[in-house]
Amino acid sequence: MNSELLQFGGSLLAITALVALAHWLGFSRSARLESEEAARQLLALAPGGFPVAALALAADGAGAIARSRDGRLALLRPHGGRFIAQPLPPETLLEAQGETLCIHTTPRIALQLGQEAQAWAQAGAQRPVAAR
Amino acid sequence: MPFDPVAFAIPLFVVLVIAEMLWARRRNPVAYESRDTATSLAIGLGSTVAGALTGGVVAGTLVWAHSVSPISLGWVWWAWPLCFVLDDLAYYAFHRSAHRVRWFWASHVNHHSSQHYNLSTALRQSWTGFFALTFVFRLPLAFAGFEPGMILVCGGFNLIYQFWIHTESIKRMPRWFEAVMNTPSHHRVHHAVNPRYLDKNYAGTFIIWDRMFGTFVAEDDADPIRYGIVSQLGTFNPLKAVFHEWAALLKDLWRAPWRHKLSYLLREPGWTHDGSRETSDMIRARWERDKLDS
Ligand SMILES: [Zn+2]
Ligand SMILES: [Zn+2]
Repeated sequence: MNSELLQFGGSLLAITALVALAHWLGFSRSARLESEEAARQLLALAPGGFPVAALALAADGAGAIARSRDGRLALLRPHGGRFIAQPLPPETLLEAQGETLCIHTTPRIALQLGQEAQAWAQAGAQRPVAAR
Repeated sequence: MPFDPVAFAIPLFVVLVIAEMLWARRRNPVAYESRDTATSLAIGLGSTVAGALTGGVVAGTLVWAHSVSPISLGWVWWAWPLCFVLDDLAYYAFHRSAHRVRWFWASHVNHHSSQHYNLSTALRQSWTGFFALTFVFRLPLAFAGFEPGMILVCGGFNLIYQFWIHTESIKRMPRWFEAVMNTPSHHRVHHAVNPRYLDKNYAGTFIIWDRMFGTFVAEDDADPIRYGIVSQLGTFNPLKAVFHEWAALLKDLWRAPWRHKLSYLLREPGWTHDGSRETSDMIRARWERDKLDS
């Protein structure tokens, strides 16, 4: 039993060292969207598909919001070094604060959309319940 | 088990992960993510604990199957290569079921839960494989007369082989090698969520099984691979990665009408009695339709 505990402890130490090394080598950066095309490709892989009708990329590439041809909204949210496509149900509050669009999901996310922030906040408010 | 080759390979795994990280820093900085690697390694460590707790029962079951078999091949030298190849076929059968039967998928999904693809991803091994009874796929070998110890050692070497193919650092191996062996290119396809690649390339060591049974797809360099699962987890919590599909399966079983309960257990992931979710075949069909439309 003791040797097994020792092995477990050793492995735990090795794991900590490897993760520290990964961090030290710079592998803790957040994901960045390179282009609208990349965002479209990621959205197409969302469960159920998401044919994009309109799309806005955050200025820093830290996310995107999109509307599908059938009126649904979805968010591309960074998760570590990759993105997650997250559907935004009609009850999700979208709020423009200057040039920032605040999306009240858990966790909350803010996209730097410039001039477009207002329009997306309105699009969020005007979604038909049928889009549910 | 008297000799576990995987335990001896762990230092080699560590060295290769470090080497790949150094490669990634210069050539492909998005190949690694420190929190993702932490999750992978934690799941790997947990799987060795699960393996240590249940290994005795698995070995015992193999010993029993071998003892009731009228055949015993013993330790003759030619039994080794034969055992390795047949064990790899058994692995193919297991792995295909692991993707096409929700019960087995619940225990295998954590291997696919990372959105990254590097050597650390290889260590996302199952914790619940024993509970899901995945070792039954090995029993036919013991019934066929192979020594239980031989089966376990061959399985160990098969697992070691599968480590090095979890990398983006190798584009293609020589042609003859790609034709016969499982390679980084073939296994990248297996970890992809791109519709064309879903549920393909189940091979362990030899890719020939996929070519024989019609589940082979070659990697297309024009279609950049996205890794993970269709519904990406969105968390680095290893417990979520290991248990989320069991929880979802339980919930579906609880809610489903009685006449559909067994289907939720035994049909492919994504199957629902009301068509509210997509199976990989439905995703592929939708993708084909969209391609024609555009
Ligand atoms: Zn798999
Ligand atoms: Zn794999």
